[in-house]
Amino acid sequence: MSADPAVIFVIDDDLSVREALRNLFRSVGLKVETFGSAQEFLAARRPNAPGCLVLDVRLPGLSGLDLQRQLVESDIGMPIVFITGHGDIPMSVRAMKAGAVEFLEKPFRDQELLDAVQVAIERDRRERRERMEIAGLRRRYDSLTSREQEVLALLVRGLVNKQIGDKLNISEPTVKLHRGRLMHKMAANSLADLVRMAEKLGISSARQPPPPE
Amino acid sequence: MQSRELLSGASGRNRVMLGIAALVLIIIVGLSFRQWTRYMRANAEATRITASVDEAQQLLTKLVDAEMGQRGFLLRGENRYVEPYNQAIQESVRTRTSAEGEAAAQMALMATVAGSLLVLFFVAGVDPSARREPQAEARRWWIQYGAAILASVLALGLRRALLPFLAPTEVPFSISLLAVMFAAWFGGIWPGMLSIAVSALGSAYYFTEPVGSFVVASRSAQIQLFLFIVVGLGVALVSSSQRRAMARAMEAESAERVERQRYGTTLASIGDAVIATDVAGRVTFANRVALGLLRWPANEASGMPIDDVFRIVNEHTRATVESPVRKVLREGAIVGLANHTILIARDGTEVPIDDSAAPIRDANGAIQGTVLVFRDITGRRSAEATSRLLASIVEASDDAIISKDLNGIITSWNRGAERMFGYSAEEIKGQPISLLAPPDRLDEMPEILQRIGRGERVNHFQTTRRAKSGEVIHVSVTISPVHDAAGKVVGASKIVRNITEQVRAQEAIAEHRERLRVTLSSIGDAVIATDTAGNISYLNPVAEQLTGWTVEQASGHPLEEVFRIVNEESRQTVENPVSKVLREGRVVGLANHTLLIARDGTEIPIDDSAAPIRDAQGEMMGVVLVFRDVTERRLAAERLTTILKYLPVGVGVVDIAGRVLIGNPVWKQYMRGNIPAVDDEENKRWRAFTPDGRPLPRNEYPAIRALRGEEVVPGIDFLRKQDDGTEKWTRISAVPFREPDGRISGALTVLQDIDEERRAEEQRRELFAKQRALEIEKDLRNTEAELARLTRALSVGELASSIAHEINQPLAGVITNAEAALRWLGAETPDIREVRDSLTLIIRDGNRAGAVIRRIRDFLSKGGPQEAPLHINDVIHESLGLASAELQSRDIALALELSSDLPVISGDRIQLQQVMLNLIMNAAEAMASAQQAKELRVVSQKSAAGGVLIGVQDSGVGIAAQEMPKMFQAFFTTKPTGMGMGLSISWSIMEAHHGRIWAERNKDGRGLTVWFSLPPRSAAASHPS
Repeated sequence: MSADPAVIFVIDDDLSVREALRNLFRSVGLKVETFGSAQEFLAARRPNAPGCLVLDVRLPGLSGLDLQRQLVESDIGMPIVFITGHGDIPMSVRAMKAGAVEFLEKPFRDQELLDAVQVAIERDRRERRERMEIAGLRRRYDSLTSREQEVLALLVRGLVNKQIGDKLNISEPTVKLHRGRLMHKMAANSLADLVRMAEKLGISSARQPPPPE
Repeated sequence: MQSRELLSGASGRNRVMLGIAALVLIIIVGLSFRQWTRYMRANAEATRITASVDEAQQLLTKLVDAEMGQRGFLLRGENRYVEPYNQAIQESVRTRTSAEGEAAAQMALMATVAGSLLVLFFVAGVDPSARREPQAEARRWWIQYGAAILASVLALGLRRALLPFLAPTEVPFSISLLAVMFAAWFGGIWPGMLSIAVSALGSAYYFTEPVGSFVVASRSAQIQLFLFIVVGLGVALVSSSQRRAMARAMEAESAERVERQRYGTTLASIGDAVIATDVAGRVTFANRVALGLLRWPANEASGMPIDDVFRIVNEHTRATVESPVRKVLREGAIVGLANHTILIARDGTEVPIDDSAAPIRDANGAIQGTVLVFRDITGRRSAEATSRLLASIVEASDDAIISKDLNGIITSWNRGAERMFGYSAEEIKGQPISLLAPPDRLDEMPEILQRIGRGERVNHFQTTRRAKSGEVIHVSVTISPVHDAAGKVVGASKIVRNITEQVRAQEAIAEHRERLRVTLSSIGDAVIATDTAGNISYLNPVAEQLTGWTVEQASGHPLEEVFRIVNEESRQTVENPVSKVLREGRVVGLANHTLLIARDGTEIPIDDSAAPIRDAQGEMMGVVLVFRDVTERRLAAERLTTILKYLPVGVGVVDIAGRVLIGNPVWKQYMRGNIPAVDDEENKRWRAFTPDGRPLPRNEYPAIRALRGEEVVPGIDFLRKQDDGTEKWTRISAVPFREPDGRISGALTVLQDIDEERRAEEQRRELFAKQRALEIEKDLRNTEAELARLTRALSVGELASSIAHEINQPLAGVITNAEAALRWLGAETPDIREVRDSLTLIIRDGNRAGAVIRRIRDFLSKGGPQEAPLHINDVIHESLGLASAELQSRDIALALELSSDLPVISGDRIQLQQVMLNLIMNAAEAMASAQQAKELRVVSQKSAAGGVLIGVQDSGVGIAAQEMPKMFQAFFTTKPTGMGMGLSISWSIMEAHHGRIWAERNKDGRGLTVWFSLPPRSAAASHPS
């Protein structure tokens, strides 16, 4: 467990279930926040901490699946563990496709839920980390000049300096200069490191076909 | 040496003696030769005669056949009988031409005569099979030999007697030749030899040297002995053959003489006339019959020309007919019968004759004369006519006339027989007579044949016979034996008469008579028959019993004596019906109230009637009186009257026109005249109806139907108007009255008062109908309850997933809380407070799940409706509890407007829940496809009647106005998968609760509101459920 405490958000219209889940998560030392409906959840202020959503599929007003979609759309990448009183296969497939961690049917075994929640929290942590990394890279990338960005793009495609110079109609030494600078700005230790970063940033070399020789 | 001695020693005498001997010898030889030639001639003659005689005998045989045949011809008129006769004529011609010589010529004459004759031998009684007299037996052998010895001894004696004239030893043997000759002639060759032997021995003993010895010493004697033996042998041979020849000739002559005599006798005695003529046509012979017919004396006719003696003319033309004799002489052939010839006798008498003539020829075939044979056919003519008549009678006879031989083989068969038996003469002739006998009569046949064989006649023997068709015929048979001329039975002729009709008629009469007798004896009525004088001739057993007189006692007595009758009331003697019949000559009917006084004084009530007995001419022969004991009947009638009088039903009898003949008291109460069917006035009181309710037409009234022959049982119900104007139910049945001949003469009608019954029945029926309705209602209710339960189960099924969710939620809570509690306990420092909190939650959730389950169980509980006081809002909440999960899952918002100020109502909680649930679910369904917000509004209010009014409003699709009336009908549905039972059941539940249910379309045009109202508890309780 990392130092920052995870929070479990339980959304279920049924009081019994809500209270029972709160009780359960508390008993294993997890922080729990419960909501009677999706609207309540959306309206609430959420702490910036790793966590997951334990979501009843059937909810008055906005349903569990609707909420999931909404969250995905608003790029809130909180992992979701679905619980349902009467699940069906199409519903569970939909949920899983949309990125749900687990789809549990009530009454479920507590360990199952706890495991699923654990996985979800881990995933959230990782994703949060990744998101932060990419945000840093992005920041660094944004700090590059446009010429540097161009050079970077060609570099990750595997072109040598001379080629880059030809392409950009600049001299090789200029390329070298840009290259050194951008490497520094991007805090890349090597070309390989740079290529990995470019990939994370979505500057895929594969997507840009190599220029004709 | 001896002979020489003899010759030398012979004196002149000896020579003389030798000469004599030689001469004798020569004479003997000469005689013998002559005899020989005569013998040869006689022998040939005898042979010829014998042959002729044999032929003649054969001829005779044939003639006899011919005669028999002719008899048959005369009897039958059939040509085939004449066949032997024609053959016989041919035969005679052949015989004549082959015969030769004088005897043959005579035989030819005889044969010709015989051939022309038809009857003679038979009539003369000559038996053609009889042979000539047997030859006299040959002479006894001992006489022959004895004669030989005697002759020899006599010759020896003669020689010895000549001793004085001859020397003892001279001519010792010659004399003995005479003895030898005699012996041989008399006895034949062997006695001749014996004579030679004896003579030789005797002569040698006595007359040769040495005398007294058999030794013949002298030579000459030896020669003499030798000569003697040789000559003796010759003499013996000649003599014996001569004797045989003579005997043969004598025999032949004797035979010829016998034949000649016989033919002569025959000619003289035959029935036909015979005249022989010479070649010139002059009469040389005429027999007695001929002379008789010609009226010529015997001595005068001889030598007369035949045309003078035998004058003939044609029967019809009266022209002289050429004498057949002339014709024979001219033509040399036999002239046959000339028909229709009349002989005119010397005295002018005319006689119809048949005649024929034939030539007499000599051995060379030259005509020597003729023989004319004729006969008087007057007798035959009439015999022929008679036999033809007989034959036609036989043929025409309806009786079967059959002849048969002794073996029972049918030999003749007339048309009557053909008609009677169906066999034609051709097919049955030669068949056994037993063919006609039915199997049960077969044994008669041999017996009859036996009797016939004994010459007996069977008269009118009644039996049965079988025709060809198999039909059995009753016949009367008369069978007579048929004799031949010799009186021998050779067959039988039978006359068969068909008496089938007669037998049947007799049988019928017998049967009829017997039936009559049996009828009269067994008939229940007494019968007395009298003659025209009124005297009793017959009483049947019943009459005997009633009168006390037996037939024997009463027979001949006047009827009045036996049959005494008085009037029942007046005790006056009543006139005897028989006297009345005798007086009036007609049938006298029943006299009522008559008492018969029996012989012992017993009085018996009787009915009587009498009728004349008439013969075929209508003449009265007597009277038959029939009477019967009516005691029983009278009693029965009285009983019947009593019964009818007290019978609780009306009984009436109507005639064929519908007029009332009799009616008992009850009947008369109802019927005041004729029956309504025929009485317009009466009919106004009566009404009846056909099954389909129309007034019954009068021709369908019971009595009318009965008069048509129907039995109208158990009758037809009528309404009869009483005098007081009320109507009464009566039932009238009727049956037809039939006469013995089947004719309907009236009807018996029976009238029953069935008013009470009928009304009771109506009431009962009404009651029954009510009960039935109640039962049906109850059944219906049970059915409805069951149906309701089923539909509840169905709705629960529809809600299954919602309900499962409903249970799952608290269940999940329970489990999770329990897990949590375990974890709290399992912590390093167990948090007891948390554990307790967890358990509290568990209990709460468990109860919650239990409540859900109980609710469902209650909802599905089986038991009948249970009425209890209840708050309708509770019912609403419970129903929503079942449905809430479903509503939630359908995103239906629920709005409750429940009044808290509601009266307690009375009803079945579950049924009312069902109504609510139905309405809620219908509303949910109606909103399933709604685009706008889905809202379910449930309202409860106090109704104007003091009860409750509940509304369930949806915002769904609603329903078309025209379908509104159908909403509460069973099987009406707008849902694709609905059964259409929900509202229908809700309707029934409301009815059972005395409530109402109806629907309204919402004013804003969206959706529907379904209302139901229930009365307050007090009002509901006042109505029994």
